[in-house]
Amino acid sequence: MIETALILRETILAAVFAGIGCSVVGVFIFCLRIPFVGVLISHAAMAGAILAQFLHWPELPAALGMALFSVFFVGPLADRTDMDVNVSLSILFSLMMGIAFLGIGLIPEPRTPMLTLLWGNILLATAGDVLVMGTVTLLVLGCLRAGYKEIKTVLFSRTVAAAVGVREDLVFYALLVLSGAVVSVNLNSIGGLMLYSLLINPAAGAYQLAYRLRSMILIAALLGVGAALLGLLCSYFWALPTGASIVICSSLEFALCALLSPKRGRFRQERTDS
Amino acid sequence: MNGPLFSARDLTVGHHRTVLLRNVTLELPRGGFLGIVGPNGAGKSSLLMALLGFRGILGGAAEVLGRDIRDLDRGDWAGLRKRIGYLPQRSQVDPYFPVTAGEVVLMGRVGHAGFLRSLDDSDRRKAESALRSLGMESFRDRPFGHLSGGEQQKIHLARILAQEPEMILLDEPMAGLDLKWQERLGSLIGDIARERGAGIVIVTHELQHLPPACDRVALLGRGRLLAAGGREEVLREDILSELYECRVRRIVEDGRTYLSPWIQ
Repeated sequence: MIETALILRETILAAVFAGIGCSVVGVFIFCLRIPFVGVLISHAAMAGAILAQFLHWPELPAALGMALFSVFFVGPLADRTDMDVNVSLSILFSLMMGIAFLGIGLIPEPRTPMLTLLWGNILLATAGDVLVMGTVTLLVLGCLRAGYKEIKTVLFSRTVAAAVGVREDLVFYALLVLSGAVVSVNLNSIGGLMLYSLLINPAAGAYQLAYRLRSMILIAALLGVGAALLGLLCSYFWALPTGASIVICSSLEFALCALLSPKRGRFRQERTDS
Repeated sequence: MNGPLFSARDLTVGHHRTVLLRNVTLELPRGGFLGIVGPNGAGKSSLLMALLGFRGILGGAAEVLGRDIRDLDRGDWAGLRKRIGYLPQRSQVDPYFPVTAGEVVLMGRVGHAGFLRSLDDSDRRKAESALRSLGMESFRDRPFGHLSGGEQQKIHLARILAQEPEMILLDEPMAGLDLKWQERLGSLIGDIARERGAGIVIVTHELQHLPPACDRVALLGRGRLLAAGGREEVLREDILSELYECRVRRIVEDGRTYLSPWIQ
């Protein structure tokens, strides 16, 4: 078992960093009530990476660039058209899917590297991948620590944050940039189609259990790492596709959290009315 | 600063090019208590939002706390908003966000503490004092989502007090609350006006939500200012009937004003 762990060292480290990074930015996305931005970012990054493959450009900057390009258009598009932000997210998502499938259609055979972007392959994570994933995860945690009070206020209410004198626009876009960075560096390992569940499920599960943001972030990170490692183990022992195993594990974790949530049923009883 | 807390001259407010409020001239003197009343869609909240920089100014002039707000950039606005306490409508806040009541009150200090700086003991003392002054110290560690609607509003008022603002803007603070909480919050807002000396603007579409301490009233209807002045001068049956587009009867009891439709 230890020998196997040593052989899979990069894979295990990649799973840990993916679990922490995705679930922490997932808390941001969940609390901002824009879960669709997770879909948009992951598919925009995928579209960027597929385009980069087609044009023989480096994948990571292209994925990150496309992810950032898409999130920076969400706000202005919603604002200019007076539409709900989720509608503008949907429009940009369909554009990104169009670009991704255009790339898929244009890239000649073999399509294995491109399919890796869709489904991911954490077993192929290299030391370089782990280094980048670890660096971005540490960057996210560093930003969270430095700007915790501003981030908490913005996540609570962007209106309240602006009203107490926080530059909520800067914080909001910084959170989106961090989300874009995390998604881009995890694309090869988890895959564009799978990333969304690792962004949202741990955060949604933690929301069922936590009464403070700090606890929610910690629980989400534990759930994210748990899902990634458990999925990896299932995949290893039963020869299952790794990305799909991780996603199913994270969904099961959410179901368990919802089942055990102290908020369910008790919630009304604990509301005070003094 | 000796001038009014805010003044608007022929102010036209809008969102993009849509006009929401036209040619409003109004001011709030230091320590004043102004009620802005009108039916839904009259432009009451838009006026508050314009004073906070959340809505655009399409025409006229406005000053808030001595600053001309027509040309402020985002950084200037952030600095100005630290001096204004704002209670948004309840729909703009997630009542189940994982945070304690004490943390919500501390948010009032976040802007003052400065970007990326930690809250210090002085900030915590001010938050604690605000909680105590509203009798909410026992709620400090309770999850915000476990409080009733009225208690959540009270915690927001404590957040505003912790901010130590020069002007307080309250947008429909009693909307959606039961009668008991409407009464409690109304009294509390009146107490704050008397004891703190900060100017207060309260927006409501229900006349009875105006605390007796509210001595000035502005009536807005269909995006225009219909009347403004002293309470008795403005809250007349003929003006109110015009505002609500039906004949109404005014009942005054214990300093509060109630309206009922005129029944033949």
